[in-house]
Amino acid sequence: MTRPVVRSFWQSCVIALVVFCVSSPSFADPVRLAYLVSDLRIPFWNIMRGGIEARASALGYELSVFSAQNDTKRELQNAVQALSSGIDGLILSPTNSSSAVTLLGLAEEAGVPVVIADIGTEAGTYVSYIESDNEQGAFELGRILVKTLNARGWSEGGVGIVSIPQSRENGRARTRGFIQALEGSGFDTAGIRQQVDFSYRETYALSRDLMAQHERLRAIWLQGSDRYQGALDAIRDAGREGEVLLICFDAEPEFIDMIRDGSLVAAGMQQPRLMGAKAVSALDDHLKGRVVPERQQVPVLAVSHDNLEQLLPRIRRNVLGLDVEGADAVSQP
Amino acid sequence: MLKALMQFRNPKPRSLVGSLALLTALSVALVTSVYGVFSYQSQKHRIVSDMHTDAQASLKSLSENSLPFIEAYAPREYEKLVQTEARINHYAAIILEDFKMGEILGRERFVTGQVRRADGDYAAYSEADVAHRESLEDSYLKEQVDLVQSDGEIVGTLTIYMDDAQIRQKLDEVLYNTLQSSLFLAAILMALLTVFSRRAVIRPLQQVAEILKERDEDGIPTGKLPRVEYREIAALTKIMNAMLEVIRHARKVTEEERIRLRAVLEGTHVGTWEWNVQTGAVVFNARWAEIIGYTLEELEPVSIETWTRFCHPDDLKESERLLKAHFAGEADYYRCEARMRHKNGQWVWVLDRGRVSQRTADGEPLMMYGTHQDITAQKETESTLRQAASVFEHVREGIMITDGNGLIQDVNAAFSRITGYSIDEVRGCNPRLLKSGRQSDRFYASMWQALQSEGYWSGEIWNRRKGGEVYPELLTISAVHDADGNLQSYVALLADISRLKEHERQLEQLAHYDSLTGLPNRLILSDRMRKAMSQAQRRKEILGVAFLDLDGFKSVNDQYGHDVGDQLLIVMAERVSHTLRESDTLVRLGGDEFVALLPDLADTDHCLAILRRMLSAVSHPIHVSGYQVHVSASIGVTFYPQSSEVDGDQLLRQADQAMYEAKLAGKNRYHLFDTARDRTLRDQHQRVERIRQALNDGEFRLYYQPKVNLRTGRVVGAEALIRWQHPEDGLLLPGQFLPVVENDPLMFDIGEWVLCSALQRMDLWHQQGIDLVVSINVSAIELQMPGFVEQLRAALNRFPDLDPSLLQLEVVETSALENLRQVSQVMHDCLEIGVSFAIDDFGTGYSSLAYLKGLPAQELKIDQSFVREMLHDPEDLAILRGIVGLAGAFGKRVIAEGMESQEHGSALLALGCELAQGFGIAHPMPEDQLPDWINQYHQRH
Repeated sequence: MTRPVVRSFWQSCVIALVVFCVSSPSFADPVRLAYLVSDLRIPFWNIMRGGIEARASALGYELSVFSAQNDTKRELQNAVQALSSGIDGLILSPTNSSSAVTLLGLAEEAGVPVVIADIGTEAGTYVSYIESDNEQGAFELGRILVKTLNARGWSEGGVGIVSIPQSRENGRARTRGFIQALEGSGFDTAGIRQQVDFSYRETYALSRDLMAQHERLRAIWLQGSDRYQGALDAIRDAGREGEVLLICFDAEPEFIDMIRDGSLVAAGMQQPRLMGAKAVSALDDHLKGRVVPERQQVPVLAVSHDNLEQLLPRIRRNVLGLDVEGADAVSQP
Repeated sequence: MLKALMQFRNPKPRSLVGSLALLTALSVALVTSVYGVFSYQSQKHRIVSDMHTDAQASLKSLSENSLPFIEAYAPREYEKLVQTEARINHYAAIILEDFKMGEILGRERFVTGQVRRADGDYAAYSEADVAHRESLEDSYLKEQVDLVQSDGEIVGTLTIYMDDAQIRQKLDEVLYNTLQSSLFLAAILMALLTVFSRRAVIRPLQQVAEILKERDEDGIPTGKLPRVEYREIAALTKIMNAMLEVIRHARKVTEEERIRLRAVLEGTHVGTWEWNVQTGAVVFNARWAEIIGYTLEELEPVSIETWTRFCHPDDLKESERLLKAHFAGEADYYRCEARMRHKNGQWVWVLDRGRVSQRTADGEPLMMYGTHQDITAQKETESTLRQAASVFEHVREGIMITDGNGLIQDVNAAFSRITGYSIDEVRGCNPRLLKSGRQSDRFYASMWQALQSEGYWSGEIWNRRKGGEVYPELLTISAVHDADGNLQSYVALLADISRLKEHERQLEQLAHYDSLTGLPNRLILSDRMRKAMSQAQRRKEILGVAFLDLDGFKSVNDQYGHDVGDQLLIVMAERVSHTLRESDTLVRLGGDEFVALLPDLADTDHCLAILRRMLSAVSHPIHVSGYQVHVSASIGVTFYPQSSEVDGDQLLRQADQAMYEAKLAGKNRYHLFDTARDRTLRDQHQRVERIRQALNDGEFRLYYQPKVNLRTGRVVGAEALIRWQHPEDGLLLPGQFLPVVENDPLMFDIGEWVLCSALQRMDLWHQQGIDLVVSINVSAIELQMPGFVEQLRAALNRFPDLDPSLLQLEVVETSALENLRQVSQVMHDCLEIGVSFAIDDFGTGYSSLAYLKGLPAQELKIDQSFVREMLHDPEDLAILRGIVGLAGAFGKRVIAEGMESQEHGSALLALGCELAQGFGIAHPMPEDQLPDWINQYHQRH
């Protein structure tokens, strides 16, 4: 008779404790979020992490960051670890849009809401998807290029495109916006060459190929940023320095000087820090029961010689993640 | 035979072709079903084998492709492969178990896959979903393979589940194909069968049936069955032909017998009956039933009761009695006249005759045969004869029957009552003894002629009774002929109509005579007047018609009442009647109006005495109902014949009119109708109407007389003058007809016609290049007519090309003077339009200087009387000179009318009058001649 009575007593205590913890927020643990990111070694993701950390801290969330080092197994392990640790929300920058589907499935199983920051997913359920407005950025870049070409007294010719894979939505959006800007300008698309392994050699070879194929080529548009040197070297080696201009998407710290000295016409700079901050805000809104748009676009800064100085503070903070001591991301006015 | 055919037809036999087709269809269905089952089994075996092969191939391919993704921890990628494979091959499900993922997730294995849902689409496999699990368990086939890494480690399994949908689909295909081929086969076979059976069996049978269908009225086929190619059917047709031959022969013999018997029965037109006396069964022929208005079918079922039911009860008793006598051998034949109830309810008489022809062994009557003959007509004739005899005796009209020679054979009681002669007194006599002597011989001759030609005469005739009294009778005589058309007798039907005649006379009196005074009424008046008029004409005498109306009768009526008024009328009628002669007729028209016809007068004065007597008779006071009443009469009289044709009604109206004059002249007098005055009024009216008709019929013409300038030799204008082209009297001058309408409104219509015609002609001339001032004559009365100026303006507006100044109006001086002020105003208004004026016949009036000055006329036309006499009369010459001087003083142009010779012209020129018009220049001429005349004139001068 004694044992059941004792057992029943302990059961009652545990239930009371649980009910107490759930119903008393002042004594509850802080709300915890996790950021699953593909590879923090890449500056873009690291800058985005800074934005996420800053906004999470500002909103009083506890944040754990898991980098997969661009390894899907590690990414899965990170997801299992994060989800099993009892987090309340997840921000996801997946290694690719395919693995994103698996991760979203695991999060759904665990009942954890997810906001995707860039890259995107092929399928699955999520709260919101934060992405750069690639089409807008590319369109503005196109207009800058046309203006620059016209300023040099050129009114017609071709523009070669070294593109990221067009199977990706962001790749298609960039091409679409750029071509739209060229319409009616006298310049047209001379050819598109897709990057596959994103190597220096590949970029160099594609650039040379475009110049060899098209004598009237006035510029090369590189849809990525990291292999810009390949394109520059190709122009130089082809002996067409000053005849074929370069314009890039994305940003590298050295782009500021390059735009200043004219070796780069312009660059479409995404704002990873702003994107990270927006992702946390979206999750925060969702957790607080507010309606969140399923898709949120962050403007891409089309930076040229003309607006560089004016945009510089924003570039340094939102694009390059510099000067961020105690500062949150700067939103577009 | 027919009965046999009926049995053959019923119940409806099955179709041979139909049966053969059904049999074929069933055979085909059976064969193809067996073939289908076999086909299905073999197909199924092959399909299952194929499914295994396909699944193994899929497993191999899938495992090779998904292994790298398992190793790369990319479940999404191998899920896509699984999804694609499942969809392509329509698998029920593909399940992949990933042990490596399971390890990371802390589970035994990570299960993923695709399951086909009920709607055919695929869903991601979920272990938690019961339906998914059941779907796997229910699968028909399953193939599984382990997923092995290159180092030999098993990293998962891949399983393909297949259901039997494919097999079912295959079965459906087999069924469909089997059904299709069955139908095809059946259709081919049935078509072949149909063609063959039609050729070999059906057509010959149809030919046989067609020939058998052609049957006579007894249902025996008339044709011979044809030869048939196939043995079996040929044998059948041969037997049938032989049978038909036998039947036809037997029938021919029977038919001849039957025709003979029928000829006898039809010849006698009798009903026949046969009776089994022992059983009561009977057989009747159609005529038996027909006699009483039925068909045999309507009487069915028949028995001896049928006879007793229709037979008259009284006659039935008699029939039974006679039958009994015949059965007992008392009479050789049974014969009875009996009445039978006809269908329409009447009784018909039949002569029922018969004889027992068979008896039983005991001698009892067994079969009896007999006939019925309709004797109704015979019986009715007898009855009619009896009725005729009764009518002859009892009818109210007298009947007289004579032989062909007209000698009396028989008369009835009514004849004796009407004429007073008994049959014995008149038999053998000629009907002439009834003659009254009032009818002429011609009357009787025409009567006989009608009797002979039409066999009938009817009319009224005066006859004499035995007692000598003459009376009117209505007589109808008919000639009676025998069947061969020979005259046998005459039958005369005579009715005494003396009372009817009296009644007619009374009615006549009521219709034609005034009930109050007893005088003839208006109906008689017209008849008597007609007769009196024709008599007067015939005898060259005078008929006086006096219309009498009482003066003061109304006040008598009002004062003393209608009874007194009526008494007064009666007395007056009597009194006036007494004043008249024997030959005179007094008629009451109604109220207090009377008409007296006074024929036979030698002259009109002859009647004055009578009229005075009438006035005197009426004016004497009378005493009625205690009152003394005094009235007088106004009498209007007219006479016949008159110088123009008049009828009775006109005479009555004339007398009435004269009576009215008498009333106007102070009553109590007579007034004679003035026919001369009446005629003058009528003549004037007729003449005006004739002129109106002439205007409407377009008989008026305009003639133009030129006006010239004697000095320059130019034509300056023309005067339009009206003429009447009378159809009988020829061309009439205005003096011959215008005075008739002088004071008649028709004058204005003629004036308007002149204006319009002149303008029309001027317009025509203008178009020909001739612009000539044309003057027309206008009376002062016309000028003063309200609206004259507007009318003139409207007329001019119709010819907009015409210059109004070419129109000149001529007004006679004397008439213009009478109302100077108003005429002057109108002339001023006309001048404003542009129309000018001339004063016509100037010099005949008493023109004062003031008048001349005031009149807005531009031209003075010197009256032709001055001009004509100027060469001889120094006074006229002086006047002329004065006028010319005067005109010059007032600035008016002057023109001389009536210039009859060149001498006149020279004299006028010497006076200073340059313009002239007259016969010396030209006579008025038809309008179409004027242009030529002008040309010629200008050429001459």
